[in-house]
Parts: sequence; structure tokens; C-alpha cells
Amino acid sequence: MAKPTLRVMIGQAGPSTPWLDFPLTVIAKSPLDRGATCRFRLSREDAMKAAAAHRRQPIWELWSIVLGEPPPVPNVRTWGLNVPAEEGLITLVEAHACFRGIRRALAEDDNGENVVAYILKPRFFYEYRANLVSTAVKLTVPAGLLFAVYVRIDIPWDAQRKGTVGVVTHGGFVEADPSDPLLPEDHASRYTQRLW
Amino acid sequence: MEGATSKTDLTGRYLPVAVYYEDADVVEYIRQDVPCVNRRIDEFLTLALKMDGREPIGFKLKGFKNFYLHYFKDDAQRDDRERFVTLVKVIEKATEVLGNEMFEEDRRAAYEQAHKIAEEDNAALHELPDAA
Repeated sequence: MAKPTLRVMIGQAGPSTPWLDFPLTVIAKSPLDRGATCRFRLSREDAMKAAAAHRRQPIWELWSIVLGEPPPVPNVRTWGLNVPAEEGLITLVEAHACFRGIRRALAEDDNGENVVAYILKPRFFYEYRANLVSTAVKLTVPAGLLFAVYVRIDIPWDAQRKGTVGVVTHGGFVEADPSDPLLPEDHASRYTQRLW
Repeated sequence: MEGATSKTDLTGRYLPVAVYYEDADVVEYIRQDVPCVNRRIDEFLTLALKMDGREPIGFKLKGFKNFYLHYFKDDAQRDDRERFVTLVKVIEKATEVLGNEMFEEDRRAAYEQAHKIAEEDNAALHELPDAA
């Protein structure tokens, strides 16, 4: 299997647009110790690709569920339908379950063994709409849905390391297990090991 | 510069396109830029369902780079190697690898559904990963 290759990170000379200028890192509960916290890097490249294709919804979900903020677009905090804009939003650190191993290949990782999945149950999220007033609309998450955030952890894992210990790669809504609404459907077969 | 300003445009209309996201190692094809629910079919395929109504609106092929490294790397070394210009070819190759005997009826239907979506919209790959 080929070794990981270096990639050129595409940037721009001018200031980044606000809704693509999300923080470089995000705090989360440690996969190995729910009582401790750690930091993960947030990759901007995939968000830039999505934005280039005018695909905004995943970026809106990153802001409103992983980072716990309304997407920074005009009028998002003042538009009546959204007020109070930040109330009820959660962040990655509020995940209630964590699994390791996603049972599928991810780049050089043949089985996703070094990927962890954080499970969140957000009450609200922001939807992209082509609206003249605000392109971000606060909505209630329908019943029966959870949000999974996937992180490639750095190998070797260093619990004492003060910097970041992995990178958030992607996330999305998944259906909850009807018999256990706080866990994803088929979680036993979808993931290798439940960490907490 | 046109690319730099177009990606920041909040009013530009989304048109269905297949996009490879390298961090996630996923090729995603979505018909509409709306909230969706991911329903995993197997280690290669996830269907994207519209949150409102659960209508299938796209699909995600996972581990594309891993698959590419395993099965297409030799082809990539040829001077005249053919670029992947349609997502359907990837689906067809994945189906060939797995083999008909390993497909359960519902999984075959999911792949056929994804194939139908790609064919109807004449999916074109937006970006390709560089061969390792």
C-alpha cells in the first residue's frame, strides 16, 4: 500500500470569506477518556471544494452542529425566524457517544480503523436557502435523527500531546436506532468498537 | 480569480455534480443542495436521502482513493491513461469486484438506484484525486 503523500494546500492571497473562515481547531472529548478533552484540526479543503460547487449545506451543518454557531452570513442573527440564533445549538464537545473503526476504507487506511465517530443529538441546525434576507435558516432537527462526526486520529496516538491529535474529515445526519434513539441504526455493524 | 469569487457567492445555483472529497475519501453525487440523511448500504455505498420525506437524492462512494490505489494504479502509470470522466464507470467496477454472488437483493437494488440516478443526470466527476 502506498504511503501517504504530501498535498499542496490551496489558499488565496486575500481574506477568506466569513462562512469559509471557520476555526482551525475544534475541541472534543477525548476518544480514550470521556473525562478529558482534546483538539482536532478542521480541514478547510473539502469545504472549499463544496463551496466551489455551490454546495453549502454541509458547511452550514459544520457551523451549526460541530462549531455551535450560526453560519456567519448576512442577517443570520437578526432575521426573525432564526432568533434567538445561537440558542439550542450544540458543539462537537457535547457528543454523547464515540465509536472507533468505521468499517470502510478511507484513503490509505484499508478499513477505517483509525477513524472515530462522534455521535451528537442536535435539537437545531441551519439549512441553506436561496433567500434574499438570510441564506441560513434555523430549523428543528426531525425526530429519529442523529449527527455523526468523523475524525481521522493521528497515529501514533499521543494522549500527552498538547497540540491537535487528529482531523475532522466529514459528518452528516444518520438515522437513529429505533430501539436506542441515542445511537445510530446498525451501530453494532457500522462501527468496530464503542469507546464510550 | 473567477473561481475564488464564485465559491464565495451565496446566490449561485447548485447543479448536480459528482465531487471527490479527499479528507473523507468520498465521491459524492447529490441532486439538490438540501439537508439529507445518510443511509449506509455497505462499506462502499451510502445513499443520501432528502431529510424531508427520505426521497433518495444522491449517493456517496466511499474509499475511492483506496479502491483506486488497489485496482487502478497500474492503469494510471500509462502515458495515455484514461481519466475517469463519469462516475458510472466507478460504480460498474465496484459491482464487478464484489461479484453478483455477494450481493443481497436490497444491496443490488441500492446500487441500481445509484446507477439510475447517475445515468439520468449524466453525472460528471467534478474533481479527481491524484494517483499516489
